[in-house]
Amino acid sequence: MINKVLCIDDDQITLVLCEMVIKKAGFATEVVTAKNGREGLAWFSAYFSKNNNIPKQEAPQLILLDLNMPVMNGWDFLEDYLMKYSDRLPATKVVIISSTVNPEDFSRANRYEIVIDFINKPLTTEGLEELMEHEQLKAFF
Amino acid sequence: MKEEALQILVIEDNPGDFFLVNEYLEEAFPDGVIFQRDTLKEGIALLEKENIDVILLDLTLPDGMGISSFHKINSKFPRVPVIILTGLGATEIALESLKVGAQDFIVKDDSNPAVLAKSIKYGIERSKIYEHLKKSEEQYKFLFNNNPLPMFAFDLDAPRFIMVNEAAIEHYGYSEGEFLKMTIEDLDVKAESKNDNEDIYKPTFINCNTTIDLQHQKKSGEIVDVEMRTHEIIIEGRHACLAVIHDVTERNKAKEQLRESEQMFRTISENFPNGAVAILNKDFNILYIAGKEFHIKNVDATYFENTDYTTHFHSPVKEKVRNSLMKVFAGQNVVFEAKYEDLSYMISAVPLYETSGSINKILIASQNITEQKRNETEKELLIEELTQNNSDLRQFSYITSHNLRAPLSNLLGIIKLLDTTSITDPMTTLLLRNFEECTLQLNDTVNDLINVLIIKNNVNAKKEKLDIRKIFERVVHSVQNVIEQNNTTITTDFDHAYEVLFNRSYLESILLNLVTNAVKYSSPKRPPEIKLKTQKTPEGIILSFSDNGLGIDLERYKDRIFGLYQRFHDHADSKGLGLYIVNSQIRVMGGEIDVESEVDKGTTFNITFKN
Repeated sequence: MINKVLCIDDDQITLVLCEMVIKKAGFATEVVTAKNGREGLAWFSAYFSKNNNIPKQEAPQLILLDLNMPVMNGWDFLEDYLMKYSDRLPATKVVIISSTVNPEDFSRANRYEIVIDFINKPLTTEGLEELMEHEQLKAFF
Repeated sequence: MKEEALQILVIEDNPGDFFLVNEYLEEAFPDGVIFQRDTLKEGIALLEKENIDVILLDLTLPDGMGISSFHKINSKFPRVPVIILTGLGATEIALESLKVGAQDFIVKDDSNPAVLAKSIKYGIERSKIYEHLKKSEEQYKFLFNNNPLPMFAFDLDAPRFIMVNEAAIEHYGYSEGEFLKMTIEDLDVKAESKNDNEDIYKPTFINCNTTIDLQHQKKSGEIVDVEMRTHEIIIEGRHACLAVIHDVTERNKAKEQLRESEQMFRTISENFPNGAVAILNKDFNILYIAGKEFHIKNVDATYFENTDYTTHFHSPVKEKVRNSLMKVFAGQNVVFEAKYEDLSYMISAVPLYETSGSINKILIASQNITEQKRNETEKELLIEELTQNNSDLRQFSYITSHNLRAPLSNLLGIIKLLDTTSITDPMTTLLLRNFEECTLQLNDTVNDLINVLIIKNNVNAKKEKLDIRKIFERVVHSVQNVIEQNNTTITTDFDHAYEVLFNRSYLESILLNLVTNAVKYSSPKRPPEIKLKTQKTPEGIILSFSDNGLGIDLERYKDRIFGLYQRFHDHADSKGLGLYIVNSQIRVMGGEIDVESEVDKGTTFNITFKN
């Protein structure tokens, strides 16, 4: 089982459902959430902060990333994350979870090495079970 | 000195007469050699042997009497001067002999050495001059007769021909005899042959030393243009005109052809539509310019002549024009666009090669393309606007689809997680089941619409070589239970063709749609039958897909059969999308589909996979 998953989505219901499905499927022990790209980055910023007042946490092994979000969308998050943090967390992968129908999004996702899969919403237990079989994740299960 | 070498022959049978003549001769020419012969025969025999300078001839010889003696000698030795010796009473015959060519006559009894010497000397001199004249006359005659140019002479007072040469006879076709009966006017073009439009110049020969152009008519009737050069001469005392004829018909014809071709060239260039043609020299100076555009604008094209072509353009067009034209002088053909004032021109330029291969001139054809340019610009703007609109609409549809799908996927997620077993109220259970059904239905509709959207925008969907047999087998397999439930029989004939170039998922989708439609809209009166058949045609492979179902009333629905949301049967799960998607998928791949149908008999779809 994966220790920690970071879900970034602006839809509160989706976040709740994600957490429930993850728990139900036994995919991850802990789910942390962020409402948009900026909040997602803030999580990593805090994680790498030198400020010792913040209790030390464990980094997520997987990020479930939505694309269409206010403030900062999924692609902008990905660009920033790759620039600032991905080098320091080489084990952390990204799976895109979106309702998009724009073919441009699918082909763009293919261009990032860190993105290992693209799941069309909704996230279901069946979907997660398939993901557990994934070459880059099956070591966790 | 010459006198000393003189050889004199005296033909005289009378010894007394000879004695006297000999005496005079010896006195007059002490160094002369004097021969004496008694008869003509002996005289002629000597003439053949000796180089005789002069003959003294008696007209009363044993073998010759009178003037015939002279003729006998003269015909044999025309160059030797003859002086007649005659008695007192025979001066009439002597005078007559002068007329026929004798040099002089001497009355034997009334002479002396001085008279004889003078007569002989004059005779010899005159004979020499005569000889000379005769020679030059012969030469002139030769020149006249053998001249390759037709020549003739005619009497100016009565313009009758006096003489004509061979070339004239050959040229005009009249014999010499005919010519000599004609006048110069007889060569004029006959009235009935005259072209009324042409005013033929009729020469008058007051001044004969001229060159004139006129038309002559040959004996054959053929009319020729001639240039006649005439000179005034005296022939046998007559005031005459010598004419040399140059036939200039061919030259005039060539001139006329040249004029016509030049005329044609001018007509073409001056009417050069929608632009101009120009010829430039190496300095870009305009040697010639013309075109219809000048007429329309009422501009005199010659105003541009001798000006530098490039100076009519403003920088930076000027430099562009200059650079392009330089290439033409280097042997290239160029085509370029250039602005002249507020007009656009398409300029084509080609080198004009000299026979030596060098290029000293170039030809330019310019076309006014202002109108086309404006249309093009408008079209480009329109395309840009449409492309933008299309892109906006596409983005809008993606966002709308996304926003529709987002809550829908949440609903689906919730339904998946919902555990209805813990609910005891049957009413709530029923409501939840209906809620689930509605959600799934909505999801199907939204997905179908999104599929349509993606097909429409996916012109570049990947094409590959597909085996219809294998694809169809898989499709049938995926709906195996539906087919079995309805006792459907399927027959296929893929013997003639089975390989097509198409998108795999589209072909699967098309066949799936057609199979499910055939089952869905089968007749309740008979079990469904599906027949597939392929055939090869020049346009491509045609797949015929037939069923024996309800059929479609094509009279009514013909135009709508492949339309969006068109339903032809009252069927619960009919959304009116299937054939719309089939048609879209075929069209986006460059194929075609048509339909034949009869109500309650069945339907056949013919799909053409283009080569």
